[in-house]
Amino acid sequence: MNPARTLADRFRTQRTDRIRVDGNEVVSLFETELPAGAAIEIVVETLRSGTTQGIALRSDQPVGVVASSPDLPDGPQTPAIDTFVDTTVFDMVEFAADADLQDITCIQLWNTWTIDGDEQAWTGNSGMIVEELETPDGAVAQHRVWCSDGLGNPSFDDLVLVVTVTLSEPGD
Amino acid sequence: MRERIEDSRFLEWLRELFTDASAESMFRWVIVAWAILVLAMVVMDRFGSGLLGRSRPLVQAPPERARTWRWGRRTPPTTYSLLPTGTTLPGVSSAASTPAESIPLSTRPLAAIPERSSASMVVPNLVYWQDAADPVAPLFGYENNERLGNGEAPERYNPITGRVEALDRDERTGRLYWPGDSESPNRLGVDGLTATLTTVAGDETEAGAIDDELHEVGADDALDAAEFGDEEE
Repeated sequence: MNPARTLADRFRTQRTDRIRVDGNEVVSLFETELPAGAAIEIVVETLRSGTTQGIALRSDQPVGVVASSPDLPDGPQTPAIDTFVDTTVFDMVEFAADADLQDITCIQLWNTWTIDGDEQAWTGNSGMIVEELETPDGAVAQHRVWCSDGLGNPSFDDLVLVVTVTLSEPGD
Repeated sequence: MRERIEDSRFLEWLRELFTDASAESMFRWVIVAWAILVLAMVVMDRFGSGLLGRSRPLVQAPPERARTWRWGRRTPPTTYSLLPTGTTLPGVSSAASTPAESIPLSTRPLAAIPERSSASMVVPNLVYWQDAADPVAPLFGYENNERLGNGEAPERYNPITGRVEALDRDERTGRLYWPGDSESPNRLGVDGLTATLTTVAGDETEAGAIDDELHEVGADDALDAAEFGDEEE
């Protein structure tokens, strides 16, 4: 690997979403499957201050957002959600697939950051290392996603997320 | 045989011409050669201009102002000035500068020039990209620094679309946006996620912050509607 080349440059040259850096597979896009009736929970574990970090999600089918409180209405059904992470406001986001869906929903997730108040992604040394964790009880899969924003050198602790796919309890 | 005799006569004529080494003969031939050369250059230039599409032939009349200056020595040759038309140098008297009739801008009062609005004060893209070319901490990655230095927009590879796309910047508002982002249908911004925020710690401070954000983005309208509906019941 040529250290002078950025991760985005290597992604672009190889026209791929995954490359190998120092023995680790670095992806520009984290994909996971969401079975019908399942939910995906994203918890911000670490956030390096200084730059506003964010998460962008896309799905091939609309997924609903789960209200955190009975006083709050459920969120809209949307296939695309962008949010900025601010641990002073919240540190967990939860999304759920519609129980009526018959097919598996593919969820795509990547990290974003802001420049001049506008969202940026996939430039510079941006990339993600996905660590597969031991699946907890009641969950389908759990991953820790180490995200490096595109600013400066690669640092995969700019934003660390724990993504858990859980099956909704009957009656939800 | 007849053609050979004619050729021989012509060659003999040429041989006599050049072997007659008198000074008068050589002088005549030099004059004739120069005349032929100049004539050939003019013909080639005119025909070349027509054939190759050159807009102005090399042989042309000088501009009227240049002729006036060359022979009159009174007005400076604005045709050859390196300064933009209408530029007035400090310390130079108006008599020595370009006549007013040849400066369209000088006849227009400065007050007539419209002031730039606040929106147009946004830095032009060329300048913005060049300013963003920071060799130490580049905003759009080291791979885009060369493009930014040339005043070009940064590029990235979009793994979803599988295409390389260039960043767009609205010169009027200064907003940055990637074309690939707008291709996603039903794309929501932060506003669409207002009801999805969930606190883990759940203390009052965080709850208050959430309430503030909800009020900022207008999600409280939905809450108000729900409460209003309860009162009606």
